[in-house]
Amino acid sequence: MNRPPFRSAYAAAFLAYLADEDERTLCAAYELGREAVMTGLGVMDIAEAHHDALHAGLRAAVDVDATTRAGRDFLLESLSAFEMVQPGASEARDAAEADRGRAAMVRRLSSFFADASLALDDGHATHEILRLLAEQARELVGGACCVATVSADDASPQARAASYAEADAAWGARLALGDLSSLERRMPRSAPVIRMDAPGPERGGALALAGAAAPVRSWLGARLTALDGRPIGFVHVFHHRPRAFGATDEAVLTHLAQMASAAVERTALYA
Amino acid sequence: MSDEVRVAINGDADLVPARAEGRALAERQGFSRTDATLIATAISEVARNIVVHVGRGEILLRPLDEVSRCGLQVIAHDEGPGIRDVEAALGQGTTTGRGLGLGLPGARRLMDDFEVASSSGRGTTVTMVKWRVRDELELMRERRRRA
Repeated sequence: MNRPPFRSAYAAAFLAYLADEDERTLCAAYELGREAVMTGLGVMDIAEAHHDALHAGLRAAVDVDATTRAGRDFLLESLSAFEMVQPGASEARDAAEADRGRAAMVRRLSSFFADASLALDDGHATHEILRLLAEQARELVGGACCVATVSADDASPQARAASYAEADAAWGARLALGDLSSLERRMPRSAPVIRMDAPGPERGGALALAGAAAPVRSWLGARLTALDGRPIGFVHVFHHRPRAFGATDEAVLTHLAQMASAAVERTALYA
Repeated sequence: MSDEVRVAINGDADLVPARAEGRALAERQGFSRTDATLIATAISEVARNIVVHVGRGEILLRPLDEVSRCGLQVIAHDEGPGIRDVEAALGQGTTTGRGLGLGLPGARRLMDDFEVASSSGRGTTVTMVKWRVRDELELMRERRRRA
């Protein structure tokens, strides 16, 4: 797709540059390159437009060397916008690759949950599900620490599993054993997931959390719910870095929480 | 520093002097024509960002000289409302390129170092640097010149 108006605008701009080689006329090449990117034209369209423009310039040229040198500078300028977006395309490819990897891992996790929920020992099965959930959630959303809990009701003892990196052992252990009820109370009943970042340094710079030896600056939490909507547990992912989680992480954690909820319910059925 | 150049940005027309000063300084710092073009483009993007979002600001161009490398630092500053979510603005190209990766994300890809400092009500400062490694011949000439 090489729209004739673009080619004629390119040729006119190049001839203007030949007539008066300065930053103003060269800037037109940068603007044309930017316009090409924004309207979906490609490098080959620029090449075609440039060939026509250079051909027109050379036909009228007194100094062929000077004209070809100017052609080089004008072409470089018009291609610079593509230099900005081509690495972007490769980043997008990497992101798509990472998404595919996450999807494959979620599929594998689904069968792990199914296996765990069929274990004969109810308590052992629940703990195994929580352990899988904590490990995989931390890895998939890139958290520093993950804690997963289940309790049949408020009066029942809570089953709990945690996952954290060795480098964060002291901090992670405190979170693993700490009282997370203040965070869990912040999660609205209607929302399956909550994401919260620490306030700015002027307000302490960390989420208020009892038992944390190091500040928690990002928290992503999802509720585990029974089929009848009754809350049966939580999965928390923490990070000491602010704004560590995004909308994709919310979606991934929600999905994991739903799978784990179903697996926990199955353990009760088969126990 | 005497080699510093300041360019006031008050409208689209100011992209031209900002680019010209950046290109001239890049050439003085020994950058290739290609790198000078990329620097001029990055300057255009941060200047355009100021024009589109705030209307006015300033670009400071500064040569950097170290033993084994030299560079060009570009500091674009405005007193606008600030960027609410800098990471999102850099990640998705939401600034002046309709999400295509132009604007601030594009400038970041063209330069070696890139940093955005922005807070609500205190404006935005984009600091970016392009580096050039000095080759052995250049280092030898430098040593002789100083001897």
